[in-house]
Amino acid sequence: MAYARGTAGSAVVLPRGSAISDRSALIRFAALAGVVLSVLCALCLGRFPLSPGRVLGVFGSLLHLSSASDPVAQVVVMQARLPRILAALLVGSALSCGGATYQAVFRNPLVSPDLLGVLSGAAFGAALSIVSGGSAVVVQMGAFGGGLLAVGTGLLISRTLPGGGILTLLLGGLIGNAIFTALLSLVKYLADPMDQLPAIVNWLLGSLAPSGWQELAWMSGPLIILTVALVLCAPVLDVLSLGDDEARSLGVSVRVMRPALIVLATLACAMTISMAGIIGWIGLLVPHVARLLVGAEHRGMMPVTALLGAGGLVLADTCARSLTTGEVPLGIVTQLFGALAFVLVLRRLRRGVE
Amino acid sequence: MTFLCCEGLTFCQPGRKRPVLEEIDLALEPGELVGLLGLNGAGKSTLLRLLMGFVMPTSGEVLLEGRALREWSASAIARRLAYVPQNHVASFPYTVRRMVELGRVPYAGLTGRLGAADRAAVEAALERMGLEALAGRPVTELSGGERQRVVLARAIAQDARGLLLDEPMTGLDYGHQIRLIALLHDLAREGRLVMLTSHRPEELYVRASRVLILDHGRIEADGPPQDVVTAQRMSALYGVPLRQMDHAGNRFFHHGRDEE
Repeated sequence: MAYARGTAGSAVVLPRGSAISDRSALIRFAALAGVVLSVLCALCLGRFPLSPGRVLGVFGSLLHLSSASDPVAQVVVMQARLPRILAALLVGSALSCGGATYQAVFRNPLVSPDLLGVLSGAAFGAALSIVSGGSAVVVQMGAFGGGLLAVGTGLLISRTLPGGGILTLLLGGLIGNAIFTALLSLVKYLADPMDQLPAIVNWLLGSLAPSGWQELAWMSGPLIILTVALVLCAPVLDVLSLGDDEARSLGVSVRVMRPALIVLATLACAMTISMAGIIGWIGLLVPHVARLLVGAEHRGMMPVTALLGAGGLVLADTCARSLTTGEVPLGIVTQLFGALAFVLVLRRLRRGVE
Repeated sequence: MTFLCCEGLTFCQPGRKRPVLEEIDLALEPGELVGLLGLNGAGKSTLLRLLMGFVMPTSGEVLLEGRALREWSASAIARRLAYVPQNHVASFPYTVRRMVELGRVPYAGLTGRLGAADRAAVEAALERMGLEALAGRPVTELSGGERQRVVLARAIAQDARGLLLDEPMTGLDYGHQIRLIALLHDLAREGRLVMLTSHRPEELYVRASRVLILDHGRIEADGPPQDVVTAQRMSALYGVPLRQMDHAGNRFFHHGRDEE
């Protein structure tokens, strides 16, 4: 016996199968094309504008397709712009996928990857390294270690709280966050106000300027692996975002899957922070845009999230280094544009709710 | 072999002296429609969650097909027991169809693609709950009652022999309440165990094959509705004087104050 008739209301019947996946494939293709275009733009724009022809010429001569040499363009593209663009691609996609994972795992679309304190911990670690006079590599490792330490502290605290579930995780994260924010303030207070304090503030603003080939060589592998892992885990997120009992009733072990995904996403975020400092709003905003484009199902939205994050950060970084003759820290650009763009996204979202 | 049973099931909240449930023995068989009555906070939800294996008992054991629940893998349980929670919170705008497709996760695996049998089960569940027209809509845009039907459709797609529902009538309009209990009746007649908690003894009287009363952490009554859903027991349970009226196979209760 059918349960009910005549209850459909004014629903729009969406055609199933081919139409939806065609649309999603189209959007995926468009996003990929957007990434390629933004990379091309980023290679051309900057303090020494290059024509697309010259940029392509550099790659042509590198691949021995043409014999014409253009040493100026080659230095600008290969030494200054390309490593930085690749870093932006990696950081953007990792941050966005990390953000989408955090949002699903915490069943809250307004969560960003710093929920459990990875940012304050990384900032503390970096500041401490700066104050103790560490080299750039030491500062990076300090940031990475500090981020993990803060999240680890938060998770440990949540273990000691009674109850379990998401609420205790949030509380543990809140406390861990507070501890490391206080420690960061302490380091800032003790830092030499002439040179160390400005260095800390500068680092906190976030920038891809120091990215070079050497750094890429050892950061890209882990970042790519983590991002791909997050994309592959996407179907798990659909179930985890339902709530603990419901996920369990569908045969998914929340107690194993949730920490595993938190660890993956946190590792990815901590790596991006150690590479580029604090780049806000990408992890919060990009998943929303992806959801608006292809729907909430994570299997479909995660690859789009990765592509949009990559392309978006390349564009933001291009703005950061071309808007003025100097350089605006990337963190400021993403914060400003991200917050403004979020207004538009929220308008679309709220309309859906009502 | 009993499909689902528990022996000496006791559950204490950490830090509380008085157990929520005390020495519960139950044997539940496919084909039964079991209604669980009890006051707010009597432990009805806890009993369902224990039977599902979401929480571990302080002492005692839940047995599924004769084997202790803790020995089963989560997905093997999910192929035998489906669950409809009291509150389903929709955080993300998944489509209705995707939501129902998640009921096939115990079969297809988390990353596996849905096969033809899975798709057929999803279609059948959507049709059975009258949701075909809503299939493409985001669940966040549905009313509470519609969302409840989506979760039920997911449980039906799960194709489990046991179906445990925590106050499934809550939030449904009157028509949907009547349709729901009729549907649960059908599901039980098809050979499933259906167990629900409820605050509507009159509906259980008509449709349930067995009614339990949970009071003070114990099963106070267990039997066919004619014996359990009586004015005397309902008055004692809910603490209000009730009189009963039987009419055409129904039993109605009304407040007994005026006649006293």
